[in-house]
Amino acid sequence: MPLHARLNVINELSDKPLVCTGGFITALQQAIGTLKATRSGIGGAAMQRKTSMVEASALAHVKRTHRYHAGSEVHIVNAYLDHSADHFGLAKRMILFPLLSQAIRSRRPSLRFVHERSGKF
Amino acid sequence: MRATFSPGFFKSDTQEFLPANTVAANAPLPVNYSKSRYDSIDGFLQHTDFPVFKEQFTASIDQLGQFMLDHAQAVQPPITPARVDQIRNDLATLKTRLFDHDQNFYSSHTPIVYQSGKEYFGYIAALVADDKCRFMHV
Repeated sequence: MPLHARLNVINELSDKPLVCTGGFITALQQAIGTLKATRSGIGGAAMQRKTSMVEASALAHVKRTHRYHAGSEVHIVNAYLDHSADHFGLAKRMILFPLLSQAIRSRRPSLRFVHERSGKF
Repeated sequence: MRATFSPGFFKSDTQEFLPANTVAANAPLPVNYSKSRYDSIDGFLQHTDFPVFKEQFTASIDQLGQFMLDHAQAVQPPITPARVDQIRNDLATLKTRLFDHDQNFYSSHTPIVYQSGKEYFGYIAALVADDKCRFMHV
């Protein structure tokens, strides 16, 4: 595994635990995903890219359609990712706020947050 | 024709990672918080396992800071000393927040941090330190 990849992970991880538990746990999960992908060749890189794309789509959807305190969007994004993890073949996210996750499910967002920008909905 | 990729590029490397050189035969097993075992965080703090837990968690955090310090100048562009200091300060702050129980920074989420957070940190430290990795300056 390239040295710079390992240093990048530490660089990006170091201040994340200082915000909140959700940010802390998410940052750790992302760091593990990055390190595992880095040592897993093309398959790992593809998986990492897929994860990044789904995260970006979920974040864009949350920013457009939710009201939240700045910095807390990670919890809503995690709820969406947890809800759709099986469909995309991604690892489940740790849910710290079950009521938020239930609320997301009750809105039946399904995969809308990914497809809406492509015009398929 | 000049080889573009090393032979390792073509090998399958998708099997689950098993941390190497991280657990000596006589090393204590990883200690994490468990509600079924310790009943509550207060119970865990009083338990004889807690000092071991704290030492293991602290060691994982320190390992990342030391790795950054040891290798920051070995990449191009190098990581600046100021940034290395900032990273190590952030990690020191993390340790304070984890174990300053008067501050209670993680509040009701402390069980999650003391369970999954500690497991994840140990895993990251093992991945970062993996001796089997060859340094590739690209």
